[in-house]
Amino acid sequence: MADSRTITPPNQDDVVVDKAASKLSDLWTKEDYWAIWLGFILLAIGLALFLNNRPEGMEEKIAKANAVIEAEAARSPFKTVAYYEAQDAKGAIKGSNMPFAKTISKYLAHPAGWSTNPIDGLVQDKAAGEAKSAKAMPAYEKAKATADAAKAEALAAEDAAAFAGFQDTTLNQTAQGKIDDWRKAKKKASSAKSKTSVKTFNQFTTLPVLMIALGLLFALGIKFMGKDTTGFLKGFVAVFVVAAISFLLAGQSVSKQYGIEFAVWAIVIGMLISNTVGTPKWIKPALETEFYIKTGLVLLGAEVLFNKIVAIGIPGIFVAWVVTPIVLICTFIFGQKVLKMPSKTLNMVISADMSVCGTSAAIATAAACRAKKEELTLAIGLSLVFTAIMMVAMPAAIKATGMPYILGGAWMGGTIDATGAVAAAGAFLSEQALYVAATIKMIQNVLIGVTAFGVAIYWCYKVDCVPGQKVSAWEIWHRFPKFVLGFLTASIIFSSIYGALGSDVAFSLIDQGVLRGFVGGFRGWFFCFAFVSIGLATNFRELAHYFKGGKPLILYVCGQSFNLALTLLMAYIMFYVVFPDITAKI
Amino acid sequence: MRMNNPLARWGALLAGLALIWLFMFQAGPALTQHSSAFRQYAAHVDELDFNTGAIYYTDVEIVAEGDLGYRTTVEYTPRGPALIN
Repeated sequence: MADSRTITPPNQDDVVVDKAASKLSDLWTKEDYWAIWLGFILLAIGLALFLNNRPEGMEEKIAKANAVIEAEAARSPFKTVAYYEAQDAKGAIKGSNMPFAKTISKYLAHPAGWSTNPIDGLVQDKAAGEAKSAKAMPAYEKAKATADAAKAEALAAEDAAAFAGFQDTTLNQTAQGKIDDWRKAKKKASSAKSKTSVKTFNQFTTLPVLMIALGLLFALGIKFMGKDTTGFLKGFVAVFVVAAISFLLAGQSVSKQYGIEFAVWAIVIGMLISNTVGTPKWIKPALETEFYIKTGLVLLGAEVLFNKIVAIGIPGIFVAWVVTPIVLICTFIFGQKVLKMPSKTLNMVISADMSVCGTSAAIATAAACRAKKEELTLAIGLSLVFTAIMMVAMPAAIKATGMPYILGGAWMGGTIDATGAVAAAGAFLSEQALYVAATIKMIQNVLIGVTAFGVAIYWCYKVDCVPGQKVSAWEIWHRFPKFVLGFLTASIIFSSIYGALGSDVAFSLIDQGVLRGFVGGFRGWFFCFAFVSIGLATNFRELAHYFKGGKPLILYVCGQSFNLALTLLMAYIMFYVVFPDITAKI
Repeated sequence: MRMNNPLARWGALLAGLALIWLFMFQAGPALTQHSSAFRQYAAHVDELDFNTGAIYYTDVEIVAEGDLGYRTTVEYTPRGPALIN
């Protein structure tokens, strides 16, 4: 990942020898600033749309649900059926359910899921939708009947516990068990219900609109940076098509079972083209890897909400925010001192990828320390392989050893790289395991902001200078990747808005509105363009060179082993020794 | 890595695409069926339609559910009547 500074030739590429400089014109001629401007334009549009179009009666519905939850929390020593139903009612209030948001989602949507025919992921007419719905109906009816029966049993058990004034431990435990069973059955019924809705879509009409809009958005920056705008727009068509194919492949059922994300498909398809028939010259002006990544990262900054940390309470904070930095730093030092990895940037990207949260952390760290595209590719490849193994092996091991599911959830949340895989593995155990696993992973996701900032500072201050050289604050400013400031500013602004709105309203309007209904969609496409560009510009031989001696693999395995041990220890201490009361109520 | 013969280049591209097809429709499903843990896990992913490759928490709907559930526990911890022994 090249940068705007002057760096010595490849054999000494960890050392910057001449001084960087900043000019006022950087504001409209440099990629970092354009990433900030484009990112902030989109964030401002998203905020304006979602904060000015609130779901009807939102505040009243939230207040009503909270009153029920409060009354039930005071009445019972465990979460009752009414408590959960009020919580679900609150969760159903989403900005993304508004009609305008659904229109935006339609145009930002990636190709849908499919099993055998890829066209199913791109087009579905009414007849096909109805046929799919009719096919899913028996499974839904069965799941609904099971959920209804489980609810009746849960209510009966809860009444029995209440009749005893919640003084009978056995009755309380039976009620909790029945309520857990009902929640699991309800989740299956909800999922089955979503498959019965008749959905029609034709992405052959929506994707071209999105391609033109995004092409013009980036072309604006390309023009001001003095690059070939027409060439960019021509090449962008190919980049967009490969990105859409990557999302299509990631939506295939086997691909989902193995957790193979769009980033991997984008790199694979890109490399397949570049290393066989070759990347056509007319595409090259659109291979703006860094521009796409940096703009995507500014958007990601808005999703780094520091308020989320407070929500989880102390046990989760210790697991996510104490273990993760220790593992990150120790793995980096291990790579440098023991393995003597020749590339510090590769060492750092793998360490962050493995200890923080996989691909998203790898992208942010790679951009912050200006790692090479092959290093980012290698880190993501390692993460993919270990995620696929861990998301299956860990729930199986937890079940086989009889480990408490909450402990297992915390363990998986802190160690499995990909967020989606953590959620799937957590839900495989129980709803409580899902709560803990997903929330710990979410807090790790937030850690990306601190990690990227810390790495950028460390690289400017320590790595990018000759030994013994004193670096002034002004010099650090010159060298600092400016898009990181956009990333942090977006995080601070969105965290402040989140705090000002209050957790429930912010959950509906920010989390389930601006972020999931608008920002996340753009960010996903931008990252996909970046990975397509990486693939189309990467040579297999160059990639193999970085894997020489298997040091990246050794680093990952050693770091992940340490991560597994330390996370399990910390999760046990926090959830079962220091805060057992909180654990019992989850 | 570039080949000079255009036929060989196109052949290599087709071979790569064939490998992807092989993974998605033959090797991948066969490997899943080979292990009972993987079989169960794959059925769970299919049933709840998980986006296992999602890279950030805002890409996974069920994480919002987990977030809300955990936050509600912290904000409204069930405190009911204590056991009297």
